[in-house]
Amino acid sequence: MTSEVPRPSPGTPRSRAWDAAGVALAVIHFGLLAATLDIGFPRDEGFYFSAAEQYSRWVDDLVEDPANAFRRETIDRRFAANPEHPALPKFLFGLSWRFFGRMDQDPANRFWYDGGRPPEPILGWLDESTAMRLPALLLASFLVYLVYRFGAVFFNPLAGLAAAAAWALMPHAFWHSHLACFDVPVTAMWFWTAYCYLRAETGGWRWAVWTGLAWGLALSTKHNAWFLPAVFFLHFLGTRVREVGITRGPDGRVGVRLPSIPAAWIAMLVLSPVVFYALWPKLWFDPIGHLKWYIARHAEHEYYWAYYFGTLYTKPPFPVAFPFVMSLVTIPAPTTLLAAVGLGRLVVGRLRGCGEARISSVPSGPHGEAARPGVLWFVFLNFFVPFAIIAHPRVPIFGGTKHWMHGVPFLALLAGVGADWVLREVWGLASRLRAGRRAAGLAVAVGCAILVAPLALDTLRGHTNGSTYYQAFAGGFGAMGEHRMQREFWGNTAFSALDFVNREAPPGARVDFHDTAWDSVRMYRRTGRLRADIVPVWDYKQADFYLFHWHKEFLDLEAEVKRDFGVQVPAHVVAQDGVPLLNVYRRPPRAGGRR
Amino acid sequence: MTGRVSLARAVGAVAVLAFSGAYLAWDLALAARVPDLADWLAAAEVVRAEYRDGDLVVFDPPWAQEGAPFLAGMDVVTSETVDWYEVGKRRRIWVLTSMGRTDPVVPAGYAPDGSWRPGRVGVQRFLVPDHGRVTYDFLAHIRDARVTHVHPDRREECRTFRDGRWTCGPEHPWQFVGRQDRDIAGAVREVIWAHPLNGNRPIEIRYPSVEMARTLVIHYGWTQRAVEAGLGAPVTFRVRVGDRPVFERVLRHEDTEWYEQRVDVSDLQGHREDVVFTVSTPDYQNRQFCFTADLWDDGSLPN
Repeated sequence: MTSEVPRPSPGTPRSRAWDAAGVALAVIHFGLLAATLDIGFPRDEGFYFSAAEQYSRWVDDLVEDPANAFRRETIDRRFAANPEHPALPKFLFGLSWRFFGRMDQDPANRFWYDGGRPPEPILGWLDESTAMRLPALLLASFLVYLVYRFGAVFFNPLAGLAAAAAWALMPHAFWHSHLACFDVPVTAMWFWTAYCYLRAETGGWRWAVWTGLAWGLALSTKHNAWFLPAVFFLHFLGTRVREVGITRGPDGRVGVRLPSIPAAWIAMLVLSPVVFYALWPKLWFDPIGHLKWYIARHAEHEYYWAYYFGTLYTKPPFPVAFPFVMSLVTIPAPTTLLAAVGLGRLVVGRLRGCGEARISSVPSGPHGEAARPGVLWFVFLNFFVPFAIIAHPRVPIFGGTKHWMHGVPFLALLAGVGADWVLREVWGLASRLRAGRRAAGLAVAVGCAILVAPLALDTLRGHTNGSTYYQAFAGGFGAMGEHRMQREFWGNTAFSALDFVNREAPPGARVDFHDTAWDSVRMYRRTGRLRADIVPVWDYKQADFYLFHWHKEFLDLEAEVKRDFGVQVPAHVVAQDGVPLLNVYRRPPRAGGRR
Repeated sequence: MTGRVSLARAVGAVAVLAFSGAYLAWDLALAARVPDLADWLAAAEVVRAEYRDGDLVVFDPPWAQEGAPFLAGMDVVTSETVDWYEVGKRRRIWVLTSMGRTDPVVPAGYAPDGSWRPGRVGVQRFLVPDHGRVTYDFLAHIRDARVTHVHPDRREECRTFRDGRWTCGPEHPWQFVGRQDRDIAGAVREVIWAHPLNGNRPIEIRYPSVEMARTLVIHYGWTQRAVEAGLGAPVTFRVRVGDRPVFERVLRHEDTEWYEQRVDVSDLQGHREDVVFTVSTPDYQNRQFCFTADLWDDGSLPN
């Protein structure tokens, strides 16, 4: 018996078994996502539903009249919605909707569709919102595999598997993984690009080309990807600066020695812009103009409210610690501890290998990449830079955690390294205690269960309101109230009030959905989640029911509604672990029974 | 040496597992303390059985309000925090404790008057100490106020009174003096909204011939919106009783509390005097200033 789990070589049956486990984890993740789709539609998802529907109509143009489909008027008409984000994710959501969506064909409901009529369903397997979400679910699952793959290649398969599990079982990320939005897709694209880049560092044009393509897709997903070159450049500086030097030729001439430019940079310069341009039709006719508008739009983004330890932040300067503290309180504490252990292990290994570029204490992957310097630096940069950008006091912080989420899988990688260390030590301890191989295996399995159980519990319990999660040592969901933090995150909680409204509202009742976007309500209606006769309004004075989404900035409005309705308490509360997220107010019937 | 190092590493690994196990246990404990709807219903039934007009129901912790719908028809505090001064105007309160809390935090002097635990929500009743009586509530008497815009060359009397608000000229969404519900310093409060005019032109809010009592209690501050905006200039708030200035404060941007001022007016008790509140600022941008005031016939006021 040894204290080290044997490391597989590439292509061996053991290596294939680990890879199969990575694939299985991704498949399980997809299954979990598909089984937990009872998550409401936040405001942004509603907008993307509408944009996706409109973009998908362009495919009709393409089939019916290809020449016309590429004319500027057609492009401008079909891609008019949500021009501030690249088209690719919305286009994928729209295509999935057209292929798999089961449209509401009731003639009375045609007006709920773009153009006043639904398209004919093609396969009609899924309800419309699930069909829209399908590409995002697949990408989220692909990301779980990628995290495994990165960990397996650059550390070892056990670390990879643990990292993938740590990422998959982060409640906020899990919640976001369901949505037809861009945050998890761009996290996947960022991670994929980073993985390809690091593989390309070992040489070979194949990975460089993949890097170029992946970054092109990342740029086509969301603007976070624009910061990747900075990460790569910092990595280049940190690992290759020693190659800079003065040379003296045989003839005595002095020259400057520079490190070779990574092949991936060439691919990113050549391929990525082509992919970006090709996949965003808004760029086809006015690339410079739209790009300038796009950059300006995000450089001058408006500020939203963020409730953070009892202070409502509405404008700069925002607290520098915000992304770090929010992550600390919204990532399960065991994961954070494992990440700290993993980081410590890598740093210690790096220091011990000082001068010989060998991370001696870290088991190297099948390709021996962990033996190369710079992996730790690379992982750290990819983790840190997204956080650092949001930490800038003038960058909008929005109140949620999704805007630096693309850095979090790299934290999961560190957690994977930490878990790998813990489990190996457990194995080693069992060996020293002269337990049998089976007993040692059992000890490792128990260790796995102890590490995974709290993460699974946190992720799956309360998944409908996953964006309101706070880790147990910060107070659990109760932290929202106890520490006066952000609660409901952008209009999705109406979903959990629909049963009450459908049951209690009289025929033709008018419901003010407050912070839920019109496009989200439209999807509730089209998918049958909202009763057909209910009239959505956004004017409480006209409403019979008011769905107050608990946000600090709206408390004045709630008071006005209560006074207008003449009630003190809500008729129904949507709460998570006892913390109200949404209050439903019902206008009492007026004399004669009318509301 | 190597053995000791390996032992230390093994202990470290076990410590990580212990941390994870402790986290799981704490997680489950947190979930177990959350009341379900049956708990809330049982607690509400206890309150309803003995609730009297004038009672007030508060939650502890204040944010744990999932059971609020079961308290329909009763007076309930649903703010983020409890304003104990306002609670102190009542005679009896009910405190619904949950989330593992059993001993509610109430101000000194509140006397326990009953305790029930029908489930995971505790019900405790307290008698509020006798603070005397509010003899005059300036918010409740807003209709009796005379509101004047004081321009350099004239005085403009506000003559329009609608929905508890005085306006000079046509109705205005924020340039008025009157009743308003606003989130101020952590609680939604019913207040007198007194958004100042621009250019140091005071707004004068005069309550004529008020029968004086022993103590005048004034509360004042910015709305949450004003705090967020941080625009405009400081506001000067003055209070006069008859010809006597009794209070003046310049409220700056960083003064974000709901401030209280107690003024002893016992020497005027029983007399009738004009009470005048004046609000002014050089720059009125987002200066959402609000106040309340009460006259009490006793000196032992609520905390």
